[in-house]
Formats: sequence, C-alpha cells, structure tokens
Amino acid sequence: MSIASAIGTVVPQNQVPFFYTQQYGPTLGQLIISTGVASLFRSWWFTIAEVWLVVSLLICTYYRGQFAIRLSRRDTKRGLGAWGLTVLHIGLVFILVTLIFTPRVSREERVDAAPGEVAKLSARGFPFDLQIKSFKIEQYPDGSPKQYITRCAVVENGKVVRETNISVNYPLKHRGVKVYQMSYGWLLSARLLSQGKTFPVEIASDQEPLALGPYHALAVRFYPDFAYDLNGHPITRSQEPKNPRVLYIFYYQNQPVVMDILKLGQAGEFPGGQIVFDRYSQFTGLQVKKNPALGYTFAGFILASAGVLVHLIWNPRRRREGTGQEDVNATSK
Amino acid sequence: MHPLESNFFTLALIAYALAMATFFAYIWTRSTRTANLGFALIGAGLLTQLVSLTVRSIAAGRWPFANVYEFLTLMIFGLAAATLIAGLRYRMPGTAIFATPVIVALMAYAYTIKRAAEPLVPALQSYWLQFHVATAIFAYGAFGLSFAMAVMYLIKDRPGTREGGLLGILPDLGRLDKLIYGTIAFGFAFQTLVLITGAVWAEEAWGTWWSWDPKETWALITWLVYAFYLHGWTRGSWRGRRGAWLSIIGFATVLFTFFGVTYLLRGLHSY
Repeated sequence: MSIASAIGTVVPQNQVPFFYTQQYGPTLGQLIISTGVASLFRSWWFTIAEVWLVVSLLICTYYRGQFAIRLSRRDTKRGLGAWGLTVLHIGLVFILVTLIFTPRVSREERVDAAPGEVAKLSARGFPFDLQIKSFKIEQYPDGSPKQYITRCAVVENGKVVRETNISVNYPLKHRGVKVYQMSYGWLLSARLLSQGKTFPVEIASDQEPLALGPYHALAVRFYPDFAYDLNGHPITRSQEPKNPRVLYIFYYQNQPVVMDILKLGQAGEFPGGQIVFDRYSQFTGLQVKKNPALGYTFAGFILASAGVLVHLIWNPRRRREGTGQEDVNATSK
Repeated sequence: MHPLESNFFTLALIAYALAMATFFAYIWTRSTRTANLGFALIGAGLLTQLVSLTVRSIAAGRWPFANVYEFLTLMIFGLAAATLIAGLRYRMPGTAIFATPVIVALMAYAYTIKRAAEPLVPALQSYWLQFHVATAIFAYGAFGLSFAMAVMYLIKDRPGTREGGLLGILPDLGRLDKLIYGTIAFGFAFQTLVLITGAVWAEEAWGTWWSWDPKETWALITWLVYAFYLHGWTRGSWRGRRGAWLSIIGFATVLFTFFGVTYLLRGLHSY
C-alpha cells in the first residue's frame, strides 16, 4: 500500500484518459489507465488491499485485546498501556472501514449562487434551501485575502429557520449536512447584436469557452480592478469593482478570432456582429456535503488518539519486572 | 523582518555550529567538561532561537506555524531539544556528535529561505493549525533523533572495529537499539496525532477528512514505515542493523514528505 500510494502521488490522479496518453505516450498511458493507476485510490485492487488490512487488523486486535485482559489482571498500570494499544487498533479499524465507505455513501454537490438567489438544495435531495444574502472578501492591508464570507439564511419548507455565515474553515452544519465556502467568481450579462437581432448571454468568468452555436464560442475574463502590470499584461489590483473591464475571446471553429478588453456598455466587435457587456455580479461557490459515515470516522479518531496517549503515559514496556531498573524504552524526551 | 528576529536567528545558528565543533572536539578530549560545554551551547541555541521565534510571533500577531521556513525552524528546535534532553538524561554526548551536524545543516538551509512573516491565508485560520503543527514538531524531532542514533548504530556495528576514538564514546549497541525503538515509538505516537489533527482540520477546511493529497499520503507512508518498524522490532525480527536501516528509510520518507512533496509534487498543503 505504501508503494502504491507513493505512485499515486507522482502520477496525477483522476484526469481524462487523453491526459495520460499525451503525457506518458500511448503504451505507458494505456497501461496507467487499464491498471487503474489513473484513479489508484479508488481502484479495485487498492480497495482489496484496504479490506485485507481491515481483516488483519481485526484479527490482531482480537489477540491484542485478550493479551490486554490477561495483563490487566496481573498489573493494572501495564495493563492500561496494553489497553491503549488495543484501543488504538480498534480506532484504526473504524477509520479504515469509513475510509473505504465514505466515497460510496456520501454525497456532495457544488453550488454557485449570486447574492439574492435561493440555492435550491432541496431539489437535489438535501433537507433545506439556502438563501444567499451577501458575499464578501475581507482583505489584509496588503491586499491579500483574509476571509471569504457568505451570509445566508437556511430555509426549510419556505420558512427561514436560521441565519448564519459560511466562511473558510467554518462550514455551516445543519441537519447532518455541511456547507463549505469553496470558491467565488464573476458572472457577466452580455448582449450579442447580430443582423438586427439581440441575443442575451449569461457567462461566468474564467471558464471553458461557452458554445454559442455549432461553430461559435465565447470565453470571458472579468477584471474588477483593471490595470496593466510592468510587462503590459492585464491584471486586477483587487477584487473590488473599482475599474471593471471584461476581456473576451471569440472563437470560430475552436480558433480564437477576436480578442479585446471592454468597459461595461462599450460595444466590441466579432465577425458578423457586436457584443456589449451590461452587468457583472459576484457569486459564491459552495460545496454541500452529506457524509453519514462521518460520526464513525470521528469515533475512530477519538479512540486512536486516546489509545496513543494512554500508551504514551503508561507504556507497558517501561519497567521490566525483576530488574527494577528503568527501561530506556519509555520515552526519549 | 524585525532585526531582533533576524539577529537572534543568526546567533542560534552560531551557537549550534559551536556546539557541533565542541562535540567534534569531544571525540579527542573525552572530557565531561567538553561535553557539558557542548550541551550548554545547544541550550544557548535553543534560547536564542526561542527569542527569534517569539519576536516573529509578536510581530506577525500569530504563531509561527504557517510556512516552510517557520516549520523548518520549529523542527530544528524540536530536534535540538530532543538531543539536549536525551543527551543529558541518558548521559550520551555521542548522540549530539551526530545530531548537531543535522541541526546545523537544516539551520543553514533555513537561513537561506528565511523571510518576513505573511498574514494567514483563509485556509490556515483554524485552531487545528496549532495542534497539527505542534504534534508534527514532536514527531519530526523524535524521528530526526532516531535517525542520528541509527547512523551511530551502523558506525559502531562494524566487524573488526576497535574500541578507540569515536567508537569508544558511543553507547553500546544493545542500549542504542532500545533507544532507537523508544524514540521512534514516541515519534510514532505523535505522528498518529499529526494525521488525526490534520484529518479533523481538513474536514473543516477542505470538506473531506482524507483526500489523498500528496502531503497527507506521504505522511501516511511515513506512518506505515514506522508502524512496520515498531511491529518488526517487538517481534524481534527487525532489530540491530536491519532496524537501523529501516529507521534511516523512515527518516528519508519524513524528509521527502517535508521537502520532496513541497518542492516536487503539487497539492493542497501550503508547505
């Protein structure tokens, strides 16, 4: 498992098949895909190794438990140390079993929502909806981000039951569901003017090109506080919309044909028409997750930590009977 | 960077370098006074480093737990403290002969990457950061010490060597073997806590308690290598030279987790 895991950290995981044949050549790339190395930690053979480890742990823990019982009868303190190790191993079984089951029983969804919107989580099987009140980015004096905060209301059956903040490291916990602050982005409203007609378009900044038909596609990047850096490249000085600009790229048959930077309301060209960006809005990226196995994992964490600490304090090897001498095994510090 | 922080860091580097020189001199003098001077210099290094870290913490308004430089200096602090305590408690100046070069090398590297403290990015603003890093210092400090002792073991345990010079200072093999085991057992307990506090924190910050991020995977590999060592040692099959080699491999995975993953593999960890 160690060797497999090491390989799993070197070979990028869960990419599209094309990535592997491109990166490693057709033969090795195919081998990586067919052996499951491309998604190693979910492959059947890695799962079997994990199950194997659980079974051996269970057997060992059983014998360890018997040893701890016998030792406790003879010597309480040393018995306690042996119990520590037993409890540690029971904790490890909990953690490993939930490691195997968590991806199979938990459910997660990404939700992007702008302030004022209601994220309909109930439509996706979660027990409540979220009304997004506001989203703000707190900054340090040097301009680097300090915290991302989404203010929202929890709505159950059309009624607001609580209002709370979601920020990084402080997810919302409600009815066994956790909602995390994950990302944010900008949404742009544009009009395409072509042959006397107007087509409205909603497009998110920094995404894959949006198809506008069989041959045309559009990609945009929003600069809330636009400036040029010393090399003449466009940058944003902050995330506050002090000087908003939109960079757009128009594609025809996957080839970029027009690229320009526009102010809001300013018309830009594309072959056969014009484009105008009217509005921008910031949205918050939330992750909604329900993991029914989490309680068991945390039980495992508590057991393993308690076991390790008990063993550290009452190490059964510390004093050897008969000699009365302190054994150097005890601690190193 | 505050000049006090910078100056005391340099002083600590000098103190550790002098301690290393003193312990090298001890190989010839073999006098208790030389060894005591060496230990006093390690103590001076610890104190000056503590001043440097305290100034940094006050200036930044947070614990120095947030980037590769800060963690490296804490790891050195843990290793130096472990060397001092183990050396005095078990009266083994021999350990310091091998630990001080590691301390000085890491300290010199830290010197080249030192920079002013930056404010914490949102993902690091958690109480779990403190527990996660504090347990890691103990674990890595102990693993570093066990590495130094494993090298001592391999140097001492060569056929046909005489009991003179350096070898005479080193503790006898049986004692050394038990010390390596004890140190690793101590470090392993803390490595377990590193993984658990990290998992609890990841559940709050990243939305999943285990995501096979390269850093956490390599921390797990380290844990597995030492788990293998501990089980092999108690069963009696991985003691002596084999055990010493395994503990060197264990420390190599520690170093890879720390430097290799930080600089070669990309992941969610900031260092």
